[in-house]
Amino acid sequence: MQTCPNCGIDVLNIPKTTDLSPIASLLTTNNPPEPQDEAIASELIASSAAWIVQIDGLITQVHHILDGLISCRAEYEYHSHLHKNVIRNIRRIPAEILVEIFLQTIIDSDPNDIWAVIKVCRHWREVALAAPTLWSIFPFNPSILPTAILSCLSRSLQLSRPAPLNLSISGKPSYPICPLQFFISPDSKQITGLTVHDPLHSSQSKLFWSSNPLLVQWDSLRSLKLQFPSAEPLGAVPITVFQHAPLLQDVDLNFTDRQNISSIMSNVLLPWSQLCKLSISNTALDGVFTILQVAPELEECHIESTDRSMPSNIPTLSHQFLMMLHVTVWNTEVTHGIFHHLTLPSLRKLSVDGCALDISVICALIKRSSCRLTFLNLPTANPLMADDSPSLQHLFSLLPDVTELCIYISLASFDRIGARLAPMLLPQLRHLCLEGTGSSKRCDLAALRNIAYTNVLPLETIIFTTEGRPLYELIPHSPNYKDPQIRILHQWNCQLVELTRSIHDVGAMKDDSAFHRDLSRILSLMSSESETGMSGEYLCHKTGRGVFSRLQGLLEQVPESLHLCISAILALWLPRIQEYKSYRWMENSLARTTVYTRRQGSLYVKVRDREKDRFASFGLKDGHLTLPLRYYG
Amino acid sequence: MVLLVTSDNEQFNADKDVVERSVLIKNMLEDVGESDQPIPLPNVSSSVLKKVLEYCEHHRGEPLPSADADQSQDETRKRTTDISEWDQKFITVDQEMLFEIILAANYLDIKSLLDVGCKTVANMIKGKTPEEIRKLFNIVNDFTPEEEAQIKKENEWAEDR
Repeated sequence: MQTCPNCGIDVLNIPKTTDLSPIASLLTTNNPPEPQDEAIASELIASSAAWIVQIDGLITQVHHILDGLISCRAEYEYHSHLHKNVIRNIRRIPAEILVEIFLQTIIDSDPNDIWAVIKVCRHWREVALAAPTLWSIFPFNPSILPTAILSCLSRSLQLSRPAPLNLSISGKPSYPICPLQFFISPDSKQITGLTVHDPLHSSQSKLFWSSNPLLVQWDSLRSLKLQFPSAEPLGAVPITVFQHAPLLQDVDLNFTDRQNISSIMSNVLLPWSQLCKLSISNTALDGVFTILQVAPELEECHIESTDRSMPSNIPTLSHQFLMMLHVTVWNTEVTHGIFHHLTLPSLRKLSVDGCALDISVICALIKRSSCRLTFLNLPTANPLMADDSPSLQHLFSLLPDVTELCIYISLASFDRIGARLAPMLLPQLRHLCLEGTGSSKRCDLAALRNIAYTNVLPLETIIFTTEGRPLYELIPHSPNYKDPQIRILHQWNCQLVELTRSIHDVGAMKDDSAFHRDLSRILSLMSSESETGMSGEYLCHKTGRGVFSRLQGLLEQVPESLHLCISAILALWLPRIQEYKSYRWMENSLARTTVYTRRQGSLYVKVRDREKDRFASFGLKDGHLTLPLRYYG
Repeated sequence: MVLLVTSDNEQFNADKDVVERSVLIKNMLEDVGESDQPIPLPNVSSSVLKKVLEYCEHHRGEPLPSADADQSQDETRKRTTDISEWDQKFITVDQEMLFEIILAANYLDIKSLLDVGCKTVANMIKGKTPEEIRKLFNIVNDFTPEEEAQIKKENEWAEDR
């Protein structure tokens, strides 16, 4: 036995088996052994067995050592992992950023994820529990058992204090199971916004029942949204709990189709007289007019009605404070009827959608009301209106203060009629949206440019929509991959790529005569083609940009004669590119729109849904453009 | 051009309108006026600054959040929980880099980049159990058994989720 100098294990000094046999010659034959050879063989068998026993012992010993080493390695690995955790960046994230992350976790997602967050570790729990804003967005989620709602809400209310609470109740008809007064009092005082969506509003549901409306105090409630799209007719259980909400100003009601006036007025007891903003959908018009009468402080009103005929009992109404009115009605006669019955001296913003509209009705409303509109949104089609110069002129003459205008008119008509009149009659106009510009024949980019640059209109934004048709079908100069100029640019691009790929060593470009010959041929084609065509639109197209940057890249790599040739081409192209960029037009194929803006620099449009903000500016603001859903939905 | 010096002493030259997406740097430049003095960024390493400049370069020219952005924060936040395609690709980095970018965006005061980082981490958390979150971020469960029992009791209603 001896000790291994490396690992310290006692190892055997084992002779090689081939050196052991004195009868080696017999091992490779089939001859029978002599008696003395047989004795030698037996002796060697016995000694081999002894060696095997010793070696097995050694193997076991090594196995033990190996297992120990593996286990030891794993321990060190875990030890190292634990210490790596100590220096992980997540531990350095400040509390306010953690709160922001938690907030993002629950926004537009399942707010119940917050309950998982507070069970992760002490630090996260402390941070989350100390941030009231995290607890002020609380919906009843269908995944929570109804019986747990009370404890869940109670905890949320407790943690959100003193942050204003925005409560949203929505989901399955199996709950809410008890009146608001029981589970919200006394915390109802901190609720600023309440949304109730589609509870089973039937005699079984007592959500809005209150033995005494004063039991539920809505001291902070400013906004209330009640949506009952599939509910039974009102009446079984009156909504009484919101009568005493001193700050309530914004109400959004969406009831079952054609709720009659008696249902609303007698069964939804709201402080109508103090409301400033009202949105009412799926309600009969007589009801809407009655509400307008009992809500004299209203400043903003959104009406959506599915009535197909104008009720006969509608009174003529003059509302002194209404500043913003949006109407969506799907019937022209009804829409006209609404405006015939209204006088709105304070009206500043008007938006009408849903059906064709006679422009003279709007003119009559403006004249009768003597109102000074700053915002007029008339996106719905009236083919007669488009080329009706006198009525367009009349409308414009009534809009001296308008800064935002959306009108359904062909681009050519606007250029011919509107653009001529607009500078005189619409001196304040800054944002123009032309609807229907792509619905008929091809648009004329020159007309658009006229409107933008040559008609003295100090416009900041022009939007025109193409209603799903590709822009290149509408604007002759809009690059289309099928256009010959794009195909030529594509060929040049491929040739330049191929050519430069053949020269592996960039430094060798200066000495390669074949490369020079080929490049010279391409440049000559470019040069002659560029003299006659290749406008800025195409050079700013991605293929054009590719060719331009490749030529720029070659400038320093080629001899002087080619350098001059490339420089000449780039000098020819550059003004065209700059001119095109200076137009400040941008296209948003997703939203099927083209936008002109005075804003310079790189243009990147994010589109928002106009349905969510009816009076959003037509202008490009902070990179956002607000368009109707139909253009990008 | 503006010269930036990172914590590991690497120097970066960048256009003024690119680096001014950082409110911190913008304020520093306004304070020192026209100067060739390098701006030290002791809290940002070169690898992270490279990424931050890539982001700023891509978003060059886009409007910065206005001063009154905070007032309508809740309003806008609801509408912008999505991350643009480019930003998503940009932020597809390993976890350590992701948190470094968040820390750098916070230090340099680049709100939009901070938002992208926070939303990315939030998306990683969404829908996960506490144990899954711990495993994902290598967070130690440091609750005592008593605390665990208390939390479980508090949230018994949610255990069936």
